[in-house]
Amino acid sequence: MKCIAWVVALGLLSGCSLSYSEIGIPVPETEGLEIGRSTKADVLEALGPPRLVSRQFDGDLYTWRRTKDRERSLVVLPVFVKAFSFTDGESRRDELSLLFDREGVLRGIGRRLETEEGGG
Amino acid sequence: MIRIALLLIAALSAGCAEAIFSLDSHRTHDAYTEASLEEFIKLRDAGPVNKAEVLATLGPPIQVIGQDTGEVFVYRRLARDTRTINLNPSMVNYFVGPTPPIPLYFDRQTSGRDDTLMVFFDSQGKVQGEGFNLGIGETGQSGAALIGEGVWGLLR
Repeated sequence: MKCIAWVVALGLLSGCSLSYSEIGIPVPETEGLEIGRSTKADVLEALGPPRLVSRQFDGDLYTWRRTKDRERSLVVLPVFVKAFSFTDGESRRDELSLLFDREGVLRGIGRRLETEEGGG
Repeated sequence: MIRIALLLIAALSAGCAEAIFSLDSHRTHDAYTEASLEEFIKLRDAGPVNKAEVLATLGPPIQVIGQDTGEVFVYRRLARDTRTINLNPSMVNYFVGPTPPIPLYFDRQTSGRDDTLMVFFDSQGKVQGEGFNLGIGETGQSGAALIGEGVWGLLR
């Protein structure tokens, strides 16, 4: 009886899988940066290079981003017939965007932290 | 000839879900919350809003679109749910020996929904207008969406 229970339990558990991926470094802190005063050079020196730069009519937008993806799946295999398969995935991001005017002066800060760890 | 036909059928059926019942569910990041959206609308109602205020309120956009008259900030989150029922003789190969994976019954429902907010700026960086839709909460569209939302609710 115990043996059967083990076989059933192993059969049920054999289809589990988990995968995680993380792209990018933790989003930097903006301490020391001042809106209306800090320049692109100050920002680059303090935070390092951004992941994205987008040109705007009124300046530029620099974005630092970290993406975390998670996927887990479960396949239930009762007596060698795959009866049920479940997969769920989630993608989350930490992001920081800095807005500069045409003179290269910091004009705005946007930040969103969605992963458990948040920014670094 | 029959062998070639069987191989062809097997190849064509290879993409079918292997399980009798399968559910695939995926969600992307939050993009914006109801609270931040409400705050943005309040700000917008109070008077002209600039790009810096939008960034501070809604956070970084997922996409920036350049237009002739200014930029568009796009905030979006996605939900995709697929429910598949697949009855296939090859599933019982263990009991009856090798059989071609010809689907006896195959039914797949996919539901892709999104919540999207677009904020339009003029060339001076002032908000010209915005548009949004909240589609993820509408689970009445299909069985896949209902099951997917139910499962996500349980997981949370």
